[in-house]
Amino acid sequence: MLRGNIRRMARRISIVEDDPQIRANYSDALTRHGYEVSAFSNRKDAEAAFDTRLPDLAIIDIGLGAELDGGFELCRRLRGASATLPIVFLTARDSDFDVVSGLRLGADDYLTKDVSLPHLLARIAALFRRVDALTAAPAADDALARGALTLDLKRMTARWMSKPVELTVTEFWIVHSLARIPGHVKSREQLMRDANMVVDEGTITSHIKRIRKKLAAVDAQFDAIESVYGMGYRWRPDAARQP
Amino acid sequence: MTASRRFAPGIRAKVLLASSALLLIPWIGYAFVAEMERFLGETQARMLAENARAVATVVQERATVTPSDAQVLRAIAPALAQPIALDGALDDWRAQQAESRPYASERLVELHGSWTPASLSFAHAIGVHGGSVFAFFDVTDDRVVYCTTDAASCDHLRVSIQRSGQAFQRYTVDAPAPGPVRVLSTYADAEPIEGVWRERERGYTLELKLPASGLQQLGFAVADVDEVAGRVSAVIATEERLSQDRTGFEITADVAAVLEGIARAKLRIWLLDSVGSVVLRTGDIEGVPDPLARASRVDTPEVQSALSGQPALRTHEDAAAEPRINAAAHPVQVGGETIGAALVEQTSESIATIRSLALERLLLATLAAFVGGALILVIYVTRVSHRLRRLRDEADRAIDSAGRVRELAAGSTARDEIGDLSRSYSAVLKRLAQYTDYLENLARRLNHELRTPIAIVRSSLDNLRSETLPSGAGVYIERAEAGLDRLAAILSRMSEATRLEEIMGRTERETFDLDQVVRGCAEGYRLAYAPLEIRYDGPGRPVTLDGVPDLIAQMLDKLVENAAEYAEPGTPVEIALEDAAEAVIRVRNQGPPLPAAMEGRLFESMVSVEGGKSSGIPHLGLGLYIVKLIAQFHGGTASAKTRSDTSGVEVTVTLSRT
Repeated sequence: MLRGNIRRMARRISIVEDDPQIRANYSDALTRHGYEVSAFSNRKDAEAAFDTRLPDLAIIDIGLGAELDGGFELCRRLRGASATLPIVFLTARDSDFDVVSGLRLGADDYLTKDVSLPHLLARIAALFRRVDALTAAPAADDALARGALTLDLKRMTARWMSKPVELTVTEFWIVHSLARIPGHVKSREQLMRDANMVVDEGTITSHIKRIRKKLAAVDAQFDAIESVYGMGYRWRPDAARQP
Repeated sequence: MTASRRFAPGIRAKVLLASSALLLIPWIGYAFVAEMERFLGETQARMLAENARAVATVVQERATVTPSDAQVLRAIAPALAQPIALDGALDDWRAQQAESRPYASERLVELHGSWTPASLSFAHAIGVHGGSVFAFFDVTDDRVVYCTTDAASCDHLRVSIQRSGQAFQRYTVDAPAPGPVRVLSTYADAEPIEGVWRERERGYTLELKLPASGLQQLGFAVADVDEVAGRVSAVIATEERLSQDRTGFEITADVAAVLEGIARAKLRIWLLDSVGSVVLRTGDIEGVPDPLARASRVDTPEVQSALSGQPALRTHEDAAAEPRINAAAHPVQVGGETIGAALVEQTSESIATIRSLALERLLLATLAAFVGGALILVIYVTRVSHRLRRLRDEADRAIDSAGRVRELAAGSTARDEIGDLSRSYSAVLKRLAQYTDYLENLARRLNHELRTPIAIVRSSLDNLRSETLPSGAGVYIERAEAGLDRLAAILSRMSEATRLEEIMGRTERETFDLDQVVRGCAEGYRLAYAPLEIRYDGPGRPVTLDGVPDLIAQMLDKLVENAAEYAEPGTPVEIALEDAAEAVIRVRNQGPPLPAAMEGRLFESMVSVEGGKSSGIPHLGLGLYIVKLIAQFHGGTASAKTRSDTSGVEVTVTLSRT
C-alpha cells in the first residue's frame, strides 16, 4: 500500500509514428515498462491531443504519412508549448542534415529506427531523470569535474568553464564516457555502448563533431576531445584547465 | 581501347589518302591536251588538204596546160637566175644555190677492175639560162689522164643529146690539157658544145655549155681512164633527162600572186609537174630543218600519190621526229589527166606552241586546284575530326568515375550527322543518367525504406524477449538479431559513398600530422585485425597535410580492410607513408594479383573483385571508390597495381601537400 502511495503517477509518453506495427511494438514495450502510452498515426491527431494535454515525453517520427517533414512541424509546436518537455526523434532518416535540423528544432535526442528497445528505454529513463533532477537540489556526489568541465550526472547537464552546454542525452553520455578517465582512449564501440546505441562508426564521428562544435561555441579554444586515429577518442588529461 | 586509338590512322589521314585520287586531275588534263593536240593536228592537216585542193583548183583553171619550150626545158634543167661564166670554177653555181647532186657507185654503168669513191665519183649540176644549158661536173679522180690523140684513151665525158625532130647524137668531150675542151663527134651538123676543163687536187672540174632549143633528151656519163692511152676503167652516168611524155603547165603571174597570197599564212606552196619537177615554189616555212628547201624535184610519197591522182597527206607524226612539217598534196588535173600536183606545207610549230601553252596553263590550273582543294579538304576534315574528337573526348568524360552522367555539348546544335550523333549520344546518356540516378536513389531509398521493416522486426524481437518463451527460443532470437545487424550494416554501407560526399561538401580542413594519423590507425588495426600482422613504415618525422584526418582514417580503414581481405593467411599487410613532394600512402598485401581487366577500373563506383574472404558483408564495389573520393578530396589520386616483388597488390594513394 505504502509503495502504491509512494509510486508516482505513471509517466505519459506520446508516440507519433505512421507505421502501425512499429507504433504497436513501441507502445507495447513502453506500456510493459510502466509508461502510459498514447499513440498517434498523424500530426493532426497528435496536435489535437497535445492541445488538450501535453505528454511527459514525445517520440516523433519525422515523416508522417504524406507529410514528409510533419515531425519537424510537430516538434516546433511542442517546443513552443513546453520548453522542458523531452522530445525524441525516431526516424528512418539518418542523414546529418536531418539530425542537425531535428536537434536545432529543440529535440532532446535523435535516434534512428534501428535503435534497440533497451537502448530506447534507457534513453527515455535518462530523459525523465533529467527532468526530475531539474526540480531537485543538486547533490555533490552526482557531479563529475574534469578541469573546466563539470557534468551533473543527475540532471545530465554539462558545463564548460561554468557555462552551460546544451547536450542531448546521447551526447552527454559520450562526453561522460570520455571524461570519466582522462587520457584513456575510448573506441567507437565503447562509446556506443556507453551511449546506449548501436549505430555505425560514422555516426559516432558525427556525434563527436557536434559535441566539439557545441563546446567550441562556448570556448573557441576547446580541444579537450582528441582523436586517436584508428582507435577512437580520448579526453585530454592536460585539458584540466580551471575556469 | 586507348592504345588502338593511337595506332589506327585517323579520319584525316584516310581522307588525305583518298584525296590522292585528285592526282588524277593533272593526268586527265595531260591526256586532254594530247587529244587536243591530235585534234589540232588533224584540223591543220585537213586545212592543208583544203589549201592544196584550192591551189590545185586555181592552177587547174588558170594554168596553161600545153607545155611551152621553157616548160619542157625546165623538166630537163631548172632555170638559172644568172648566166654562168664558162671558166671551170664552181663559185657562180654556188652563188645561185644550184642543186648539185652526187653521183657514185649506184650509177656505175661500166666497170673494169676495182672502184672506190676516190677513183671515180662526181657532183653534177645543171641549169638553163638565156637559151643555153649549162652543166658542171666536179669529178673526183685519183689519176687524171689527159688525151694525147685518141679519144676514149683518156678521162672524158660522154654527152647524149636529142632535139625535137632530130636523131639521137653522142659526143665525147675531153681535153688535152686543162683549159678549153675538145668535142669529138661524127656528125656533120655537130652541136656547138663549149666547155672548160680545170684540174683540181685529186680530180678535175668541167663546165659545159650547149644550146637549149628543142632539147628533148639530155644525158651525161663520166668515163675514167687511169693510164695514158689506156682503157676506160669505169663509167658513171647521170640520169637521162627527158622531156618526152611529160606534161607541164605554165602559170601566169596573177596566179603566182594568188598563190603567194595564200602562202603568206605561213604556208609553203609547191606546184609540181607530172614528174615532180618544181614549177613554182612560194612561201616560206621557218624554224625547222627543211630537206626540201632547194629541191628542183620533189618525189615524196604524198607527191607520188598526188601525181597518180590521189590527194595525200604527210603529217609530222608519220615522220616520227623532226622535221615537224605537215604537208598535203593534191593532183592538178585537166580534162581528167593529172598534169601535176599542188603541195602545201606547214610546220606544226603553232600547234606545238599551243600545246606547250596549254600544258603550262593546265599545270598551273591543276596545281592551284589541287592545292586549293587539298587545303579546303584538310581544313574541313580537320574541323570534322576535331568535332569528332571533341565528341569522343566528351563521351569519354560523360560518365565520370563516380558513375555520374553528364550531357554532351559538342556539336549538339549542329544539323549534320555529327550533331545527330551527339544528340543521340546525349539521349542515350540522358537515359543512362536517369538509370544511374535511379540506382543511386535506389540505394538511398532502400536504406531508408528498409529501416522501417528492420525497426519492426527489431522491436518485435525486443518485445518477444519480454514474453515467456519456450526454452531454446532465445537462440533463434539471437540469430534473428545477428541477421538484422548484418542487414543494417549492408544498408549503411550502401549509402556510405553518398553520405561521404555530403560530408565532404561541408567539412572544414585542418592542418594535421599525417604520420601520426596513419601510425595511430595502424595501431588500431593491429588490435582490430589480430592476429594479422600490420606493419607501418613511416618517414619518422611529422608529415603535415591540409585536410580532414577523419576522412584519411576512413580511407585507411577501407584500404586495410581490403588488403586484409585478400591477404594470404600468415602474411603481413604493410602500410607505408612517404614524405615526398606529395604525401604517398602505400598499402600492400600478399595474395592473388589483380585481374588484368580490373587494374584501371578498380576505383570506379560499383566495381568489385571477387575472390576475397567472405566477411559476411557483400561487396558493393564502393570501398575503393570511397578511397578515391577521399584521395581526390585531398587533391590526390589512388591507383592499384599487382606487386612486382611478390604476388599481391599494392594500392598507392597520393595526397597533395598544398
